[in-house]
Amino acid sequence: MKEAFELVLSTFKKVYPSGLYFYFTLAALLYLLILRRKRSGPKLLAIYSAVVMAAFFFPPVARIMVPFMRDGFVYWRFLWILPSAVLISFAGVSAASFSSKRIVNAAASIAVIAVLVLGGKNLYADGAFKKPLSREKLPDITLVTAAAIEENIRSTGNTYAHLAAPLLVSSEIREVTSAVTLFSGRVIDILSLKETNKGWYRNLMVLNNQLEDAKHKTIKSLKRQRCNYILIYDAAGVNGDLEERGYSVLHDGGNWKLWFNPEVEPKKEA
Amino acid sequence: MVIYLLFMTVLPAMYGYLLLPEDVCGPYALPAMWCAGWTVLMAALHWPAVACILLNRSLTELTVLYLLILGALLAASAARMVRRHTNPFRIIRNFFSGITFPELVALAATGFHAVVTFLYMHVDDDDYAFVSNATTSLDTNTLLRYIGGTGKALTTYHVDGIDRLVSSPHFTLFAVMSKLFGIRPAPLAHTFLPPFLTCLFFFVFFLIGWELFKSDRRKCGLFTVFAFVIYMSAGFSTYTAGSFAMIRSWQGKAQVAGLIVPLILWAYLVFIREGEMRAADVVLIAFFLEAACLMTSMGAMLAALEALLLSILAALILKKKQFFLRTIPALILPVLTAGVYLYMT
Repeated sequence: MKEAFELVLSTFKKVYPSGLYFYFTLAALLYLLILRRKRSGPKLLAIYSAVVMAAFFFPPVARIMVPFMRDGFVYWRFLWILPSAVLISFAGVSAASFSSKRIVNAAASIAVIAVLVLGGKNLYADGAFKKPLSREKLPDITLVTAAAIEENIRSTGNTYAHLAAPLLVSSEIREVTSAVTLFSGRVIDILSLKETNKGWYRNLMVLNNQLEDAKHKTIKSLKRQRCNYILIYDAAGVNGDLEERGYSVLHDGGNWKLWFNPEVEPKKEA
Repeated sequence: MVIYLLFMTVLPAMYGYLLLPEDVCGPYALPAMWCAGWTVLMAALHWPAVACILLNRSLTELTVLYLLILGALLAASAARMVRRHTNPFRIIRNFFSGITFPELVALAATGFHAVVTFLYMHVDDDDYAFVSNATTSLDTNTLLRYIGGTGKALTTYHVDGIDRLVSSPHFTLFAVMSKLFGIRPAPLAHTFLPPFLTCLFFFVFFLIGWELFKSDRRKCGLFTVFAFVIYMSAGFSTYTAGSFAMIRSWQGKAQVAGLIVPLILWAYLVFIREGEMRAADVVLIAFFLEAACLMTSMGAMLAALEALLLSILAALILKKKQFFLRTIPALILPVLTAGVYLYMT
């Protein structure tokens, strides 16, 4: 039960770090429960929201939900069925409609908007949206790498393309093309590799410029893993090792390079 | 592109017309039909996709099957329209005539964010499950024969992360749409789909407002404006429904949080106002829950939980068991989806 309680608290802090929007939700819910319960629609909304809120904070409910929510990892999704936006907006409309004078109601509407904006964090100003370079809306390095590999496949006729690349590319390149297979996929794969296979994890850290001492073994290891394409930042300082092992530059991206070795072939089936 | 635009606008409205009575939501019949119709497009794909994955069928076969289902539903909707002498332009006119200033502001805000989602990007590595698998399906004409993120061949579906893609194959929507319209999954998901989804996420607030404010259009508009401001200010956490709906709209869980969950709430507000839940209402809830089942396994569970709670409370408030008893058949589908998921794990 203690773990369940801690899960509830940690989830609450994740979803409402400052708590303000939770207090807005709570205030709106209390307003609805006390003052607006006569009509059946608002009554249903109020009682339902109260039940969901109470259930979220009740540790036995969290304990029951944990196995269904990836061991509590996504328990915060439970709050998606709490209609916070509906509650707060309802209370806001009530506040902005109390007077018979339009100018007073308009001023109240602006005040409500100001409170909501100041109580939260503007997504537009938060850097959530960036100007894209293409309609795919993926990092340029990913698109350039995909295009270079596809062009190489077309010109050489060699359809085998096993790529080792930093997370920035490996997480997303297969959204562009499935001509490439990957040494590893996205972040969660990496975290599981950390626990299960230290060698691979070390290779990935080198690719991501996060580990230096194993870099010379990395290229040898990647070649052994049948990676005929390797994308690596120049800062890793392994150019010599790549050339030594038969790799040549397919595309120069400035501070990174895509290397290709035509001699590396897929493992022969037994 | 024209066919894509028709698929995203006219088709959902036609399917929504099939599901909803014409006088639902007064002037908001068009947004109601559009929101409900989008869930039909999702729901119609779910079990065919699950079956095709388990039977190792190709993407082409799934696409043909899906088109047959959509065609049958479209024919039913057109027949209903002819039988009732419905004028679709009247439905559109009703939405715009008598429009109030707050509604115009709400529409402008929605349009603004739709443009933002079209022009700007938010990179998210959860796309691994949706877009990579769709691209793989499209390029290989298979369904879940390879791990989307790495390209390795799948020898079993009993793998963590893959199991839920079998029970909730949202990626098949992108794959089928890409096959139909010739748009690659990445630009489809990141550029061409989000503007429409944005409109749906805010139109549902018009519907809820109509039930809460006794058909006062000015208040409905204001309600939607405040909801927009709340979503816009949701940057304080990446875990809220608002931030998901605003920045990751193409992902299944965002559509559950931003569309399905509010739609289910709206539906029960309608049922409780009408004082009853008819057979057609059960079908409506079933479509909403089926759409959630396609989008994400977690979404299926949350949507079902919401429907169950609302049905029990509606039954208690109006002292009518039918709200609860009639919801149970609609819950069978998420239970079956859970069964597929549990079989896979």
